[in-house]
Amino acid sequence: MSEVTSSPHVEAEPPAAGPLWEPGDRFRLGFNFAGVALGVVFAWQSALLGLGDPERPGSGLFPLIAGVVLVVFLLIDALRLFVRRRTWTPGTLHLSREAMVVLVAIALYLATVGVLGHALTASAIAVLLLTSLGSRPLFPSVMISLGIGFGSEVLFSALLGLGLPSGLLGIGWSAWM
Amino acid sequence: MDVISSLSGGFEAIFDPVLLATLFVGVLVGSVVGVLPGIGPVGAMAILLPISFTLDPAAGLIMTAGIYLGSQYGGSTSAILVGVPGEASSVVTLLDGYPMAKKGRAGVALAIAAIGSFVAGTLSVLLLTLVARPLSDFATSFSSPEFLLIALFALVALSRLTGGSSIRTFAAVGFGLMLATIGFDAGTGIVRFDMGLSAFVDGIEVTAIAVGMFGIAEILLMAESREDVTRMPKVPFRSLWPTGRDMRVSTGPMIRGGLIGFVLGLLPGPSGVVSSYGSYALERRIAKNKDEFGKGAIQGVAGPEAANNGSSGGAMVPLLILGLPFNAPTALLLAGFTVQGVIPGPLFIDSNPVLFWTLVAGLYAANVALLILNLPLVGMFTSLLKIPRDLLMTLIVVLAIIGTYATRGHLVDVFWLLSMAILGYVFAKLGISRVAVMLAFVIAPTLESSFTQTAVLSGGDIGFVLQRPICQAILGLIVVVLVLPWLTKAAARRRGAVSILQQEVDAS
Repeated sequence: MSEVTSSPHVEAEPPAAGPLWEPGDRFRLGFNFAGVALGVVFAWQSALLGLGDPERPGSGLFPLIAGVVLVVFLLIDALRLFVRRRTWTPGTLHLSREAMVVLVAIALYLATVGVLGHALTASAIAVLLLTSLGSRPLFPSVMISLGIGFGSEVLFSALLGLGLPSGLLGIGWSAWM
Repeated sequence: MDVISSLSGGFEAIFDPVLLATLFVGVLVGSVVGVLPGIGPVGAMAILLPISFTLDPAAGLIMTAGIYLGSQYGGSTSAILVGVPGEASSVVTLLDGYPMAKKGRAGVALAIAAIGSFVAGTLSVLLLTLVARPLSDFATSFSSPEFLLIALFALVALSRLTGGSSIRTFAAVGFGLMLATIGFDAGTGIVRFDMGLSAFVDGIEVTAIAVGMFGIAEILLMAESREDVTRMPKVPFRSLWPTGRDMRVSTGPMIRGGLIGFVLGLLPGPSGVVSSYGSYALERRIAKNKDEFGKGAIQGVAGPEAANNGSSGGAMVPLLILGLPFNAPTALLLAGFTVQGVIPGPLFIDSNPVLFWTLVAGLYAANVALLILNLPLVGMFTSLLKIPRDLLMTLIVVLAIIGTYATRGHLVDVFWLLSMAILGYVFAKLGISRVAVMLAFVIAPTLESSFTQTAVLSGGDIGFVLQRPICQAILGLIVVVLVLPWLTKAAARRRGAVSILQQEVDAS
C-alpha cells in the first residue's frame, strides 16, 4: 500500500484557509438572545393554539413548555455569560470560504433542481465543490462531476428505485423510462 | 427453552440470501463510512437510511443495524492507522492503538479491535436475548405515566451526563422539542407552526436533522479546518494475527469491556464514548503494566473497542423493549422502524416475534460479518483514506442531499437539511449538544402523547403519578441524575483540598 504524504512539492495546492471561525462570548450572548426571542414567539404562538385545561391539555401546551424550556435555559446561560463579562473571550470573524461554498452548493441545488432535474443539478454543484475545495483543473472536474450527477441518478433512481426529481426539462431516469 | 427456540427461528430467517446480502452490504458500507473521518455513525446512518426504505422491513432494519455496527468499528481503523478517530468513541482507541501502529504493530491492533468488537458484540446480543423477554413482560405493566417519566429521564440524563454545559444541553432539548411540534399534530388533528406554508404541514423529517446537523455540519467543520491525511503504515495481511500472549492479555479486557459497554448502553447518552472511556480507565487501573498505557498497551485497545461495541447491544434494549431511543444512532433506527411501519416497544416481542428475533439474530450475524470482512479488507479500507479531500466532501454532500430528499420526495427536506447544517455548524462552534436536539426531536412524540394521556387519566391530579411505584423509582433516578454531577464535583474538590492539606502537613 503506498503512503500518502502532504508533500510540499505538489503543484497548485489550494490556498490556505486562514484562521478558523471562533465565536466569542459576544456572539454567544447575541445567539442566546436570538434564541430567547424565538422561544418567546414560539411560546406566544403556542398559547394562541389553546392550552386546554389540566384534564385535557390543548395542542398548544406541549409546544409552550418546549418554548419555555428553551427561553429559561438560554436566559440562564446568558446571565452566566453576563456575570463574567470582564473575562469574555474575543471571537474571530473568519468565515471559511470553503464552508460557505458547501452551503451555497446545497442552496443552489434547492433553487435549480425543480428546473434542471437531479442529474444536471448534482453535476453543477459537484463542479462548484470540486473547483472550490480542491486544485483540480476545470475539465477533469467537469468530467468527474458529470459522473457524479448522472451516476447518482442511475444508481439511486434506476437501481435502488428512489425517486429523484427530473425537473421541468425532464432529465431523469423516471422521465427516460 | 422458549428463548432458544425463538432465537433459532431468527437464525433460520437470517440465512435467507437476501437478508444475508443486505447484512453484509450494511456492515461493509458502515465500515467504509466509519473509516472516513468526520462523518461518524449518525451521519452515515442518516445518509444511508433512505436506501433501506426500499427493502422489506426485516432487510431494511438489518441493513441499518449493520451500518450502525460497521461504522462503530470503522472509526477505530483510521484511529489506529493514522491517529485520526473516525468517530467520537474511537478517540480512546487512538490512545494506545496509534502508538502500537507506530511501533509496527498496526495489524495486531486492528485484529484485537476486530476480535474485541466481535466478543463484546456477541456477549451483548446474548445479554439482550436473555433480558428481552423478562424486561418486555415487565414493561407491559407500564402505562402513559411511566413512559412519560422514562422519556423525561432520558432527556434529563442526557443533559447531565453528556459532558459540557448542562444548561446549554437543556436548551438544546427545548429546541429539539420545539422542532418536533412543527406540522400536523396527530393528537388533536390540527397543524401547528406551518406559517401558512403547505410545505411545512408534514413537519420536519428526522433524516434532514440528522444529516444536516451531523453529516453536513461535519463537512463544514472539515472544510474550514483543511485537515489532510498524512502517512499511513503498511499493514501486510500476515501481520494481522495476534500472538498467543496478545490474546491472553486481551481476553479479560474484552469481556470486561463488553459488560461495561452493555450496562452503560442501557443508559441515555453517548454510551459508546462513555463506555470506551470507562473501560480504558478500568483497564489502566487494574493492569500490572500501567506505565505502558498511552504507549501501546494492547489492553488499551481491547477494552475500549469491546466496550464501544458492547454499548451498541445495550442501547438496543431500551429501543426494542421500550420503544425509546437513548442515543443518536438508535434514534435513527427508530426512524427506520417507523418508516417500515414497525412499532418497537413492550408489545414488539409478542406482536411481531419473527421480526424481533430475526433482528436479534441479525445483530449477532452482523458481528460475525464484521470479523470476516474487516480484517481481510483492511487494505481496502485504508486506501479509502487516500481519496482526495475535495472529492470525498463532494460525494458526501451529493449523497446527503439524495438521502434527505429520497426519504419523502419533498424538496422542503433539502431546505431543512440546509437550515440544520447551518445550525449544526453553529451549535458545534458554541458547544451546544446536537445529540440533545436530535434525541429530543425523536422522543417528543412519545413525550407529548404520554403527557396528554397522563393528564387525561389523572384528571390533572399529579398525585396519580406520584403514587405509582414505578413512577416513584423513575423520579428517584431523575433526582439522582440531576444531583449526582454536583456531588461528584464536590467530592473531587474535597479530595483535592485534603491532599493539598496533607501535603502541607507532610512538608511541615
